[in-house]
Formats: sequence, C-alpha cells, structure tokens
Amino acid sequence: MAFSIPITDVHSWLLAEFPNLRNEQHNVTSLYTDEYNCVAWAAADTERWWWPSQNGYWPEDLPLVDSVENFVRAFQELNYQPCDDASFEAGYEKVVVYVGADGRVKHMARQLDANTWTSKLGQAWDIEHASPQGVECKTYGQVAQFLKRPVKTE
Amino acid sequence: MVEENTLEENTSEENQPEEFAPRQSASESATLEREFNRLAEQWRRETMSMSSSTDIAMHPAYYQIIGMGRVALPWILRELQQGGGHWFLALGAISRQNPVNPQDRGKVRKMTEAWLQWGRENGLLDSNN
Repeated sequence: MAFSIPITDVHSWLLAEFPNLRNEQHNVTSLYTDEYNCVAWAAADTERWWWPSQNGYWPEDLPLVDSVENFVRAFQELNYQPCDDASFEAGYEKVVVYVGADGRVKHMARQLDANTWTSKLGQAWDIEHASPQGVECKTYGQVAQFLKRPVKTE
Repeated sequence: MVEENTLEENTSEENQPEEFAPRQSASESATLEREFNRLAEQWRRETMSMSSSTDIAMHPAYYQIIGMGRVALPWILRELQQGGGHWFLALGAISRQNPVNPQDRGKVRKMTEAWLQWGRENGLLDSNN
C-alpha cells in the first residue's frame, strides 16, 4: 500500500522541511512508503513501523514512552551502547537519536560511512545526507544521543 | 412474565450488530465529507515527515477527524484503502474496536488489511473492494 503524498516537487519539499540540507550533499534513495519509519530504518528493519505506541512495534519488555532513555534501551537490545559523538569509527556502526523542543524523541539516523548518514523521513522517503545535522529541523529537533555497536563479522 | 419479556428484549438488543454509520441527510453528509477531505489532506501534508506516531496522531486535523465520530468511519477506511496512512488510532478511537492481531503491531500492511476486512464485515466498505 503506497502512502499517498500530496506534493509533486520532492526536492523543494526536502529543502523546505530540512533547511540544513541546503548546505550539504544529499539524495533520495527509496520510493516513499509508510510501512517503516526512521527508527525501524536505524534498526535495519523495513517490515515494521517502530514506535512506543499501541499501534507501533516496540520491544515487549519496554514501556510505551517516547523518552531518550527508552530508545536507548530498545537499541541496547540490538547490542548498541551509548557513545560520545557521531565521528566515524572503523569496526563500529553508529546511530543517533533526535529530540524535539518538548524533550521527546522525534527521529533517528544511521551512519553508513565516514561521510554518509541515512534517514527515513517519516512516512516518505529514505535519504542519504552528509552529517547528522543535515536533518536537524523544527520537526526533528536536534541530535541528543549517540549509540554504537561493533560491526557484525561473518 | 413481564420480567421475561423485558429480559428477552434486552438480550435481543445486545445481539444486534453495532451500527457504525449514523443516518444523516444527504446534504449534511456531503458537507461533512468535504470537511473530512480537507482535514485528511492537511493531515497528510503536514505529518508526512514525521516518524513519531504520537505526533502524527496529535495533529489538530487528526483530532478533528476523530471528533466527527462514526460518520467518518467509511471515509477513513476509503482513505486507508486508496492512499494508506496511519489511520489506526483514529479507527480504534471512534469504533472502540481493534481487529489487529497483537503480533502484527507495526506491520502496516497487515494492520491495514485487518481494518479493511473489519470495514467490509461491518458494511462500511464495499465487499467487492
């Protein structure tokens, strides 16, 4: 089921919603869909919409609260641990958590390499952007938590 | 005897299928549907970048649609069928039902199918769709 989006100019929409993208390289990397969101995408899950709510997926042992602490606990179950910053570290995967002015979690992004991050933009597209700050905005707030885990080796 | 009749009537009422679509005049319904369409379009446009289910459901247009009550159920189901979207909280709040298997929470396709099936079973969606 494709989510019906009432816009025609993706590029203009991106720059209006995320003004910081004017200053950094970015590109759209998927079709739009409402089947997964940024948290699912950070967890590499494209089958479910993750959110601590009655209609979202959330680990059963955690409360339905959109606090940073609760998101950290959810990602600790995926072997992530808090870390100091978003710098690239060989051998580690990193994700970041964004918090709005109301103190509640609004967004997550995942690091792909030293110069590239990826975000699922709500009910819309996946994009790649150069830094976590690229998608800081009124809707997503600012980066408030960094997490990392060792890269899985086959 | 009187008590038995009363009991039979009450039991009979309880067994009636719940009516989800209130009766309205055609002009009242058309006016409300136009308002629903305006609110739904506003909600889609203003929440499409949001990942927070909390924020998506707290949008003022979404609240107003919930406030329309049961008359909005066929329109919400039509929106869900034709354009997707996270209408689940509104459907649950209005109908006080939840046809979604708990194991399917977050699986948007399965949640959508469960609600569309519920709509067909309750005469709110054409069973051919």
